Amino acid sequence: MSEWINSTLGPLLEQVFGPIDMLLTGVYMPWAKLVALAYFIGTMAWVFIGLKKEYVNLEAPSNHIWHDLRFWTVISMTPHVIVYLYL
Amino acid sequence: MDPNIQEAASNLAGIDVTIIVMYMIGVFILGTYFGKYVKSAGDFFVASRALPFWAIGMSIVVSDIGAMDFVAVAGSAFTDGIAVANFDWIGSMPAMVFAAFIFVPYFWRSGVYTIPEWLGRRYNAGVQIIHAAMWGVFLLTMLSLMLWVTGDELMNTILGWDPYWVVWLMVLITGVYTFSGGLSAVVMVDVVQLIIMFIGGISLLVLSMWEVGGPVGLQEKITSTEPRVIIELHDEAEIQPATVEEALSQAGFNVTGLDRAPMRTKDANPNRFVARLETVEIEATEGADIAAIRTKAKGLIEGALAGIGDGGEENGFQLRTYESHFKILLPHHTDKPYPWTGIVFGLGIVLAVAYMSGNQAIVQRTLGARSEWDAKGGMLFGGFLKSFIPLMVAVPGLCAVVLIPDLAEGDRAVPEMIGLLLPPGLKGLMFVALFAALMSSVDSTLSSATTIWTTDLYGRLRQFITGREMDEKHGLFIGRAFTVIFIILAGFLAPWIGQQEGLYVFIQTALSLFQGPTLAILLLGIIWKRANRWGGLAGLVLGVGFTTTLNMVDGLFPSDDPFLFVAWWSFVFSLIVTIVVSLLTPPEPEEKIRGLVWGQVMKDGEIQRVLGEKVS
Repeated sequence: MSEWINSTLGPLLEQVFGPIDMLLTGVYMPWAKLVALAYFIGTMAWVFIGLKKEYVNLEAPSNHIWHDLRFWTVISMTPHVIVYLYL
Repeated sequence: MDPNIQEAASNLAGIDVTIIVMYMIGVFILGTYFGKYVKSAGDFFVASRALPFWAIGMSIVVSDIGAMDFVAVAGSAFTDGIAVANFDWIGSMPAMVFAAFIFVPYFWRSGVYTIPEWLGRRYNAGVQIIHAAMWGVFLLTMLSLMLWVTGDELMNTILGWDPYWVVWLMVLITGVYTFSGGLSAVVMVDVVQLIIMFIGGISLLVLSMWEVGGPVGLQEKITSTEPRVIIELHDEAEIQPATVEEALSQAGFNVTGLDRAPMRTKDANPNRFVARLETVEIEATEGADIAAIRTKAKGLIEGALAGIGDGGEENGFQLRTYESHFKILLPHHTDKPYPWTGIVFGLGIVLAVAYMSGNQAIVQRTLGARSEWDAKGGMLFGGFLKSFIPLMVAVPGLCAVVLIPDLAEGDRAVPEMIGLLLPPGLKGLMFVALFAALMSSVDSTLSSATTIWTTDLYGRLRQFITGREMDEKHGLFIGRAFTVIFIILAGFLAPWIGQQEGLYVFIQTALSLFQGPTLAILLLGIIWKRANRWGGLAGLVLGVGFTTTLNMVDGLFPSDDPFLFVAWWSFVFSLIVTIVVSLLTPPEPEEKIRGLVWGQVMKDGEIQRVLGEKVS
């Protein structure tokens, strides 16, 4: 089974994934760091700007800032941004 | 057994043993106390929907971290560096934010007990049963495996305890309180276990960091550590260290020291060596970058060792260099196991989200939340706590590079560090932390397996035969019966499953085939109301087929174990298949998907009211 798939589908899949592999091999490592940071920052921005405050905090015990889950998200993710920035 | 570890175990008297015994009794009493609150299936499976966010968050973390994670993650940090922390950082926090705001609110509002049950409502019974059967078998196998691996590889190795006794002790304690108190007992015991785990882990972290001179000292010492080659040769006779040293010298390396690795057991291979090299950057590797230098050096070492003993090309070795031990992201083409592309796309975007949103053992806690805010907040709090895990688990592994650099097996880093650094009292607490990590994973897996088997497999079958849905009393009876059967079965099967390496690999591989496709249909099921039963079924079945194909074709991805890349591409493939098939087939009726899709719940006041009544 494995041999058959390798001989029939292998060359076809190689045509698809080979160029992608080549493209990624050439990526400069600081760009990789930027992509990782963008993932964290983008997620924070999505929660803070993209979602309605009412949806995020539905059924919150109070309107105080310490019950606002948008701030929880930022506080939880900021240390990650620092770690990925410096390591 | 290693003299250090034996000494550590023999020192476990007095205060250490008292701490361990008190912990076992305390957990037993606390867990069984919650039995008095369990009167229905809802109390048993989703804790009467009364859990606060802090208990949910703490329980999620401790359910996710097993005793073997302490050993395996530290071992990986020891051999490959801090990149292993990606699994608890980029591989957790963003995924838990997505779980909190995309998936969990819809699962919680729909009032389901399991993820397959939600899939059944959103798509059809076929999707529910395929998903439930896969997870049901996986969780049961994991239950046996956790018991045995910890009993045998951890407690037997460290304490010298009989693994059968450890397994049955765990079966008794976790089985009784899970049977008695259901999810409430599991979560509340998890809270205590997390506190103990953190105290034990932080003690090891602080003492390790003290010994190496703090973060700056650690970084300086690791980056200046000489490269090591861990060598395993095959020959019936004992090979002399001088022979190995000469072969490496002839290949161009300057060997500064070479010792025979300690034999852990009587039948271990005596021809194992640890060689220290001045550097791997020799004349033959000049002008290359570090990845190419490592590749060339490995080729030279392989050639040098092939001529020694009877092993030929089967002679094995592991090259350890430390220049990237503090790099969190490694290049796309690296001979280490975590290239950045796989980490960001495969782990961060697919596997982590699939795990945090589709794993019953994780999500079940949020289904028991007292409010939607607590369900979301529990996920976020769990992500915050999980950020500390690499500090307690991976950093001691890095410290071991400085303190015991000639260790041949990375997985022995934590046991050796416990023996080396912890004083009496703290040593007992650290063993309790390991027990806590094991028991919390066992109770969570048992509770989740029971819920899936009761709700999605037994419940569906009963409905198919009798035409009636299961009532709350009957659900509680069946849930408790499955709890007893599964934990006893896991205890009996543990020694056998623990020794079937092939079975474990098969189950793990089978589960990994489902991760990408499951995430695709879960995501589309929530955010796109046009996704229908045919799209969901095709996305799941064809997605699994595509994943299998990618796993079988050699050399498509730049890694020996390309699961991170396969996960990403199978997710993309299933997303496309589900969209195309859904568009080619009729949409689901509005009343069927009412309350299960993002846009409707967000905008429709009538749906909000109906869901509010249903939940209350």
